[in-house]
Amino acid sequence: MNIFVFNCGSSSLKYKMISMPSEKELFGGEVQRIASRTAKPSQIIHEADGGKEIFVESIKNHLEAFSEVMKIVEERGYAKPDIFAHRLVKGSKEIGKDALLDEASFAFLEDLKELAPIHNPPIIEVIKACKEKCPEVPQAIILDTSFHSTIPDYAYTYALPKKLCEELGIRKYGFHGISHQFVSEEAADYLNIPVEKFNAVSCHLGSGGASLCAIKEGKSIDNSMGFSPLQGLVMSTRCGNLDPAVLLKMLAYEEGDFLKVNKILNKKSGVLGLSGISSDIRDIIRAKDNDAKSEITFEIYLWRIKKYLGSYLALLGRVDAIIFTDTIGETVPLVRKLVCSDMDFFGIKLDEMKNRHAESYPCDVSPPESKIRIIVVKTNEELSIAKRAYQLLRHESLLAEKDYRS
Amino acid sequence: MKSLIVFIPENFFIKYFVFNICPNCSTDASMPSGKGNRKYELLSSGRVRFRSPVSSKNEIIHLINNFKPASAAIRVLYGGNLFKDVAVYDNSTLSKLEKLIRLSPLDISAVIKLIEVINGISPATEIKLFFETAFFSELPAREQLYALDNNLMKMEIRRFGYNGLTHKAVIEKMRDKNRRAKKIISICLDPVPEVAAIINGKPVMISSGATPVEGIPGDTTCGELDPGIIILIEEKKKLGAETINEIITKKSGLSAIAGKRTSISDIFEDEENNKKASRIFKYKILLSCGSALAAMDGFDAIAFSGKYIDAAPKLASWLISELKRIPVKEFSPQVFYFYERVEEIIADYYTVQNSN
Amino acid sequence: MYTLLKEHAENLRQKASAFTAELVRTPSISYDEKYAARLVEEKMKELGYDKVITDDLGNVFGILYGYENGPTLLLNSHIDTVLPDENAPGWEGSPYSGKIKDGRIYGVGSSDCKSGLAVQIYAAHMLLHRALIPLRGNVIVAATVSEENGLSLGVQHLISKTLADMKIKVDYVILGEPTDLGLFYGHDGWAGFTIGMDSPNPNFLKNAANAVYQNLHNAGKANKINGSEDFMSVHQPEFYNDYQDARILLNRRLYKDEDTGVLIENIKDITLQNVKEKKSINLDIKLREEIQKLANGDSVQVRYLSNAWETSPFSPLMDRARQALSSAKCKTVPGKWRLPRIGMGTAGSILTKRFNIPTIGYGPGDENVVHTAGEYVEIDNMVEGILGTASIIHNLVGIPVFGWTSDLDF
Repeated sequence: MNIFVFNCGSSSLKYKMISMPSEKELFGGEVQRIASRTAKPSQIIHEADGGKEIFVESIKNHLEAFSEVMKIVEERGYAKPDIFAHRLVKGSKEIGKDALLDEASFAFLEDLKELAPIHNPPIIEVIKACKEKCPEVPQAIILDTSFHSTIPDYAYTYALPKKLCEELGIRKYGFHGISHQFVSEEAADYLNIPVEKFNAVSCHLGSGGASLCAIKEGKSIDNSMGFSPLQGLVMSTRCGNLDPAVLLKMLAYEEGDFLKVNKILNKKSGVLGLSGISSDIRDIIRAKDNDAKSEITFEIYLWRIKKYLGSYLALLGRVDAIIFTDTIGETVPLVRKLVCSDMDFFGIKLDEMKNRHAESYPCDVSPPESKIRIIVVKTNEELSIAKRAYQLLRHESLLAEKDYRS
Repeated sequence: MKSLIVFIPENFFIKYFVFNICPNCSTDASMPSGKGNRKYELLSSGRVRFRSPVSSKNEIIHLINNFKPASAAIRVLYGGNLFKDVAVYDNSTLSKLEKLIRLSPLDISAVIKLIEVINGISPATEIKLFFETAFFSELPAREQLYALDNNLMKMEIRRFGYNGLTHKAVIEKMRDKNRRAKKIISICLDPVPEVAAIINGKPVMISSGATPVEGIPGDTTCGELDPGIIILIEEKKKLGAETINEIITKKSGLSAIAGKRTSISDIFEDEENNKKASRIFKYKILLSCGSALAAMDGFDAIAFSGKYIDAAPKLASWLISELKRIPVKEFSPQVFYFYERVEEIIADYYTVQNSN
Repeated sequence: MYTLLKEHAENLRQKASAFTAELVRTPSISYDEKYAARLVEEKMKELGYDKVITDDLGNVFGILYGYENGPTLLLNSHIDTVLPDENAPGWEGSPYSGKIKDGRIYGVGSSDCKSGLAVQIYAAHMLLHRALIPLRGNVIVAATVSEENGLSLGVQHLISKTLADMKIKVDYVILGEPTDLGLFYGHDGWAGFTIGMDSPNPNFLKNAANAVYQNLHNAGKANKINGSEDFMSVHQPEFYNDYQDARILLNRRLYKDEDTGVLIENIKDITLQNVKEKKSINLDIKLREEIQKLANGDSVQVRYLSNAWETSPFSPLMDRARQALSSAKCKTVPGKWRLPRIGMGTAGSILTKRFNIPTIGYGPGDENVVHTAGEYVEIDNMVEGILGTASIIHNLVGIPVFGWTSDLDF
């Protein structure tokens, strides 16, 4: 069965066609820097049969990205998918867990946009585009929040009036769950530790969003993002943690225009807001030696990760591994080095050579004397999504067979 | 002996403490206030309604006429980037204070008014201003700054701590007791609590933010909050920033979790009946201490202070047992309890100053 | 912060009501407001307004400057009253008694709108000087003259001349007109028409004029809305030149977007219905205009036209005022003035239509008792009005106090 996975990030679109149950990747790629204010333009990296092609295009939104991807797929005559599978950042009451979309659920798609107004809209648009292009192909949605359903109540509860929380569904949901789950399972496997005994801090550091996850015995017990993907680390254009009173002041100065304030915090803050030159931390790293603002931006970016790392290490006590993943976590050794530096108290040591030459994943960039392994894992959310979509389809087929028999 | 009045403006009241300062007295001299080697004596204390309708100008006049203080000390919550140390009041101080009104409107306006009243009654009384934020004025940039474009707000936004006088006094006391304790986690258990990481007497991390609300949930303050939640509340309920502020400063925190008006002290006194609030509070403290450990690469001691110091032993015991799960070879952190209140810290300052 | 403000407002009960009573006891009919204006000026100086000015028309205003010099909020109440009918039954003593009884202040102008003025004066002062809550923008509290003739001449002069000369631009206005502490965002207008008639035949003119009057009077009665608001009021015909000329004065309520040109045509149709003598009558209907002499001796041509106006109930001004009142736990009831009698109005029409300034109303008086012998204001309303007005001022131009808990210790 061929599963075509779409994974929309805030500024990227990853895609893969995976054959299940063999887990063989038929082709895949990523559209990067969609509508991003970075030094480099958007591009599509397409990989198939061991080769890689790069197309530099100006891509303004996710619909255009989808269109370009389908052009590439059609031009190369790949097999048609049996199902489209999409990563959804946050669900709703009607679509609260991994699910196959039926006609009824298509009606609720628009409501999903406002639950995660930065992330869900591009996913919804791509879902609709898939329906339009291939109406006969079923679609599945896999939720980012599912892995974090094990976060305990004392960690997901905000200290706000109970009635308000119940009315508005205010609690910590956590995000990047698909990735955190995948990389923790890969790391546990790599270290030969049964997942149910595995403790780790997973650092999903993407070019757009980023989060840390505390994993105890294979289960998520905290995540740096919260009710929305705005909380936590310094991200490309998102502010992360912020004094609520500052936000209220912004709201007052903007005469209650919460949409404007939301846009500032989601699109004009973070690395971009601090540096004033780019939202991509890689650009900042290149500039920091000659630009004071870039230097302090990089310091603040690292410092926030380090503090969360310390929090989760203290929370977990015994930790088997720190996992780095996604674009920055996998490809920027300097970030790994600096986050793990001056952490002798926790027994963390990093091997500089291994770290600099980490190319095949997963790999261990810590020396033997480090008390905690530092593992770099290439996240494969698409494979994780494909697996879950496959399970869903199988479950549905089994149910259908049962119905037929009875 | 010289007399000193310490004023601590709150928002409704001003607390006052009248001390006799005796820096050259022998520490064996008996002091009615007890506590051994203090070189000051508390003569009187109370509070006057200051911003409230019934004018308290007369009470302050009475105080000053009665005690004829050589010095008046005013505790100021917020000194911003303009006040990095104790400041002697003069004309330039007033214009600097006025610049801070935008950032701390309630406290600074009360302080300015109080200074006006004192100067009016007794121009000869030296006034010194003690800023809670001064200790944090040199917080490293990576800790003090938010990931915001400051041009958007047209004002500088940065983190401070709001119990700087206490944290500083804790460090100095600890230095006397244990010179080897360089890395200290200082936890101030006040109604709006605060955790600071301090290396060699300099803070490197603070749980509070641009205002005291951020960080650890307090008696009625929400603590750390996803900014998306405020946006959501405004979008769905259109309450306006003022009403949301009332919610997050007066209707949140441990009281919201417990479903009744409560305090950190109450929670620890009866943990059995306050399980959820206690669990959440301890959890947040643990996470904050973990950040402090990363910020300092370890620690030598934890110090507790603040109004709810009575809750400290239970919290300390739990915290140490949690931190001991980190597999580190040599781990025997000192725990230190600091009982002095802000007015005593200020009085202490005068004993040192005057003896010099 | 709101607990603090509430305590202060309650504490000002006696002072605010005493000042209102004093204002009521000081007659100030339109164009003769100077003694009351002087009282206001003295009070503002006593309370410590940064600047207190009386302009050449007799408007008095006090300014409280904020730290950022903007935005600027104008709190406006007129100081003039209608000429009371001293013989009408129902006055508590006399129209100018200012009697305080059973929690009320009685007398002409108590509701409309001397209590509104007192509330505004004390609210602004209380916020800044008593509760010590600083401002970022400016607050101007203005007692304006010549409003009760329905044409808001005082406000017009204040904005277009006095404040313009001082280079002050007003961003919002809150009127202290009676709203019974509702948050009001507009009202109908009204227009005055002159129906001129002439005929060489005096008998024809007499009959025609009386028939015209009857037509208009019946039309007015037939269109009465809600039973209490006047739709149209017609005066008896006046005759001149040995019954060769006649004049009928007509006032008609104006609704939103109604055009006076179209109205004149409608009036013409009604006027001459079934009038036998109409062929012998020359009819001239126009908007009423006349020359009025102001307190400063200037003469001005006034048109009897006050357009209907409305600030959007969903505008930022309404939103923030509503939120402020809600935060302070004050009554929050949006609405519009009903204006039971034609000729009633506020300066809102001029402020929104001519000057484009967002305007709302919030005052302690009750429009049902204004211009009546039993006019009064509830003192409880005044106290809540002080709290509500101060909260709105703070929300619009105060320095936000976010993050700093107010009523607790640190």
